[in-house]
Order: sequence, then structure tokens, then C-alpha cells
Amino acid sequence: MTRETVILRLIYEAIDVVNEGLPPGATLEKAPELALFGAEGRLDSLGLVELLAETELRLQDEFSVSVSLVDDKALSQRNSPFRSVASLANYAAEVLGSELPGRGAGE
Amino acid sequence: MSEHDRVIVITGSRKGIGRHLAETFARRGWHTYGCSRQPSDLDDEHYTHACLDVADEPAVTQLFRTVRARHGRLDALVNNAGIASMNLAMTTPVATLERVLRTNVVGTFLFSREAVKLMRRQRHGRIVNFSTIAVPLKLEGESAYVASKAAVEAMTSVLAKEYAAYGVTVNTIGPPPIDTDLVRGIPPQNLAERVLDRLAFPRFGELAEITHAVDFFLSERAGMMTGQTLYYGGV
Ligand SMILES: NC(=O)c1ccc[n+]([C@@H]2O[C@H](COP(=O)([O-])OP(=O)(O)OC[C@H]3O[C@@H](n4cnc5c(N)ncnc54)[C@H](OP(=O)(O)O)[C@@H]3O)[C@@H](O)[C@H]2O)c1
Repeated sequence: MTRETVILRLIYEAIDVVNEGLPPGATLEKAPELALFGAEGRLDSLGLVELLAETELRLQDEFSVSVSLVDDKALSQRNSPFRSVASLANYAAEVLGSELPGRGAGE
Repeated sequence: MSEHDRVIVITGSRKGIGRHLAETFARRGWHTYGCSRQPSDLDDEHYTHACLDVADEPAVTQLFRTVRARHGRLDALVNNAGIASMNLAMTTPVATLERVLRTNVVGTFLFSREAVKLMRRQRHGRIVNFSTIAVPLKLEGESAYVASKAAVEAMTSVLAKEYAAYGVTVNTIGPPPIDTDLVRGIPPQNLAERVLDRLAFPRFGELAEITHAVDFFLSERAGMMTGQTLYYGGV
């Protein structure tokens, strides 16, 4: 399994947790194109923080590193990395890449 | 839930107040996780010690990973680790100020941040921070320490608001002088004149009196008690 596939699975698990707190009609679909935050986004800022916190925990447990998804770099990017599931997954891979150069998933 | 399923993290548990709290909770059967820079000799089947600096982010996240993996929950966090510095501001090196801020402020922030990620899963949790009566007394000669603890108090009120959404309360205890290494270096005459004589009850506090306040904030019925700083001695 590639690191990207693992990251996507972890984000989907985090979505499951966020969905537990949402009313039945408002739950999030687990799809790369799902808009998370911003004009079309499905999450308010509190919801986004929950999703990011749950994702961070899973990344830390899976890859045994301390990762922080919300830093000045993320907040200053012109295209927010939090606009969709796919952009979040890309961003998480980038952050992990700088923490774990050359390591594959689960190593 | 029985005491035996509960999980608590107590920082600075090698000696002093933190040691007393760690012994107390482990004896009650709580899964008790403590930490300090040097190793602990506390031997109890319910106690696990991590050697770390509370401001060391990777080490702290590793500790919470262990708690998550073993228990999947966290009921309480006591941010007790703290250092003081007695020195007039004019002769206090910046390095001292930074050391005090890192332990007292960064440590408290980091542990609270990691704890709430776990507590929010069960929509319940308790965080107790440590300040000191030196803050309301505006104790001269302790500018670095007082500034760091004032920051802890301010952070407590903000975190209380942020974490309420997850059923987590955040409060601070402001103890009077307690007989630990932290105050043993201060000449008794000095302590009496500068601190004890300014209290309504001019005496040292007891470890059991600190545990009592922690128990109160951890209790089920204190669920609406949040963002508070509880001082001793009538300051
Ligand atoms: N005693 C008093 O009169 C008094 C009064 C008011 C408030 N307080 C507060 O009560 C708390 C406990 O004080 P105490 O009197 O028990 O002090 P203490 O006897 O000096 O113990 C401090 C504890 O914190 C640990 N510690 C210090 N710096 C640390 C760091 N950077 N990382 C991890 N652990 C660290 C120490 O272990 P290591 O050295 O092994 O790291 C030790 O276990 C503090 O927050 C203090 O400000 C105390």
C-alpha cells in the first residue's frame, strides 16, 4: 500500500469520527473531491479543527512521528490545503515527507 | 466507571506535589502516567513514568501515543511540572526567563493540546493547571515565575472556552507555599515576611490540601466549573 493510499484511509477514518457528531443529513462523504473548507466547504472552522486533530492523531499513530497539519505554512498558502479531501491528503503527504524522507508507509 | 478504568496524566511527578498526586492516584487504582526530566523511583503497578521535558514536543506526543494505544482514553491531566526563579528582574538573564516560560507555559500548552485530542473522543475530561499565590501577591523578585504563571491563568480561561465544546473543563490551582524543593532554598525569614505574613492563614499548605482541590475539579459534579483559578490562603 502506498503512503498516499494510507493517508487517504486515515482521513476517511477521521471523517467517520467527525460524522458521529453531525446530524444524519449533514454527514460527509468519503471522497477525494469532497469540499471541506472555504466557499463550497462542508465544514465550519470547529468541524475543520476536529477533522485535522483526528487526522493528525492517526498520522502520528501510523507513522510514529509528531506531525502538525496546521502551521503558518499551511495557513499562508494561497490555495488552502484544507479545501478538499484530496488537497488535505496531498498536504499531509508533503508534511510527512519532510518528517520521514524516503520511508514508506508503516516502516 | 470504576476507578480502575480511569486514566490520568500528571506532569512533574518525580518529587514534590506531583509525586504526591501520582502516588495518590496510582494507589486509588487509576492508570497513572507521570513524567519528569529525571527518572522516578515510584514503584506501583498502576504507575508508568516517562523521562521527558514537558516542552519537548516529539517526546510529549510519544507519551500520548502510548496512552492512546494502551487505553484509548484519558480522563484527567494535571499540569503540575513547574520551575521558579528567585531573582530581581534587573539581574535575571533572558535564558532564565526562557527556561521558566518553556516549562511552565509551553509545557502546559502542549500537554493540554494533546490531552484534549484524546478527551474529546469521550466528550469528557478534566484539566488542572498550576499557578501560585505569587501571582495575586505580585511578588517582587519573581517576575519570570509570576509572568509565566499569569500566562497559565490566562491560557486556562481561553482553553476553558475552547474545550467546553468537548465536555472538557480547564481550571487552575494557586497554592500557597508548600514544603517542597521549590521553596526549600528560600531563607525562612524571607518567606515569612514576603509571603506567609500576607496570607489570611499565615502558614504552609499541606499536600493533602492540594489533592483536595484537584479532586474537586476532577469530580463529576464540577462539570460546569471551568476557567477558574482557585487560590489558597485568602490572598
Ligand atoms: N511548592 C510550593 O510552594 C508551590 C507554591 C505554589 C505553586 N507551586 C507549583 O506547584 C507545582 C509543583 O511544584 P513543587 O513544589 O512540587 O516543585 P518541585 O518539588 O521542585 O517539583 C517539580 C517537579 O517538576 C518536574 N519538572 C521540572 N521541570 C520540568 C520539565 N521541564 N519537564 C518535566 N518535568 C519537570 C521535576 O522533576 P525533574 O527535575 O526530574 O524534571 C519535579 O518532579 C509547580 O507548578 C509550582 O509552580 C508550588
